[in-house]
Amino acid sequence: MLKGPTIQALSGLLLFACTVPGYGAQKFPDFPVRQPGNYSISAQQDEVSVGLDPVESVQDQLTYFHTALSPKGFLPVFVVVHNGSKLDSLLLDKSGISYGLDKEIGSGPKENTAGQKAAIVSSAFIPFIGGFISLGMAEDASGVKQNLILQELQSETLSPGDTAHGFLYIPIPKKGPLPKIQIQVPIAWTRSDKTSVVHLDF
Amino acid sequence: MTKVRPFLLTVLTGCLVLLTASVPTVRAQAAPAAAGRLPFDAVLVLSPEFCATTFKQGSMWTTGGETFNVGKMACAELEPALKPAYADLTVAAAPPASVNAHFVLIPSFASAHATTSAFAFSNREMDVFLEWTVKDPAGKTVWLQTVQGSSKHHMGNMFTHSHDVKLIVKDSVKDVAAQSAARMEAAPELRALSSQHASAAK
Repeated sequence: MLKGPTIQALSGLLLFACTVPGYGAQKFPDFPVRQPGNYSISAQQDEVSVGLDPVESVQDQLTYFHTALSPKGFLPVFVVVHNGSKLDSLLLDKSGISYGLDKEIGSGPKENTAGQKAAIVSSAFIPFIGGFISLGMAEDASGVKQNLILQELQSETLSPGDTAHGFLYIPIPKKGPLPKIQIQVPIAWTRSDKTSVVHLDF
Repeated sequence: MTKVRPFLLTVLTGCLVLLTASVPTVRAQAAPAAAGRLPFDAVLVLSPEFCATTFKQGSMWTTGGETFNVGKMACAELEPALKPAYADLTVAAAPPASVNAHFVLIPSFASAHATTSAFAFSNREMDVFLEWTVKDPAGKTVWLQTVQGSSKHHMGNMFTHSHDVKLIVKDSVKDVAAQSAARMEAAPELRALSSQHASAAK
């Protein structure tokens, strides 16, 4: 014969069993996709156009990723690449995309010296987020980590008229103001030996 | 007791409904419609480094570390999956020095991730991302594509966990191999090259 406390304990266990697996099934809203020219940061080179939308607000990061990435040292940047050619396909190689940070802006007030150019003091290839997941994001739920990987921009071939999109996770300082960031997207065309490099700053 | 049984039954039924609803859906890429085999010979490069690729996640100190031997499984699964997609497919451990009118297929793992779940019989998901580089007989990269493979399996308990890890790796890699063959067969860039290749051979 079951008694009151036993029943309560059993009910509690069953309810726990119901709720815990629910964490693995969390839903992430889709980030809105537009044509590259409709983003405030965009550039065109030859017949390829690239648009960027950096997700700087921690509130927006919590909405789309269920985790705050900036305090962990990553800025998620949504990238849209469009092949405007009618004949030629292009190769988007994610491993060739590089970024640079302007240290002057990140380290304090900038002096406006005449003729001074923004100095991009470091340049590197953008790492795959998977390599950092086990380090900086260990406390996040596995569904959150999975979503970061699924949303990442991947290498691909874009046929004429095709569009690719996804996130780049750019390493940034964990504290202080956001430095000026420059991104270079190299594109190789399949019919010719031509290469286009799209430069974007924000 | 007569009042207790319906209560427990209600909680249990509610749990089953919630668990069924919360089983995560696998977001695998939709396989494009196959357009028949590609009429050229290809060399599949399965290097020792590729076959030794592993992904590790978790920590031995907290959740328990896991190792996913994706490379070993891929080296067993890729050849049979890709063979029907080409007129002839041979396997090599390194890119051939002389391509002899062969196309060269080079795979590499971009990333992989498996979710975790709290209970042995809860389902977990695994996603693997395989990046393909296809070079023409002149050595020029003509196609670049990241293909996603996914699967679901039980988390497993302390006795079955390693077996369940093997199963989820096997099914994810089998899926990415099948998706790769379908993507190659449907790629307009490879179709166009195969017609050029055929007319050049005449």
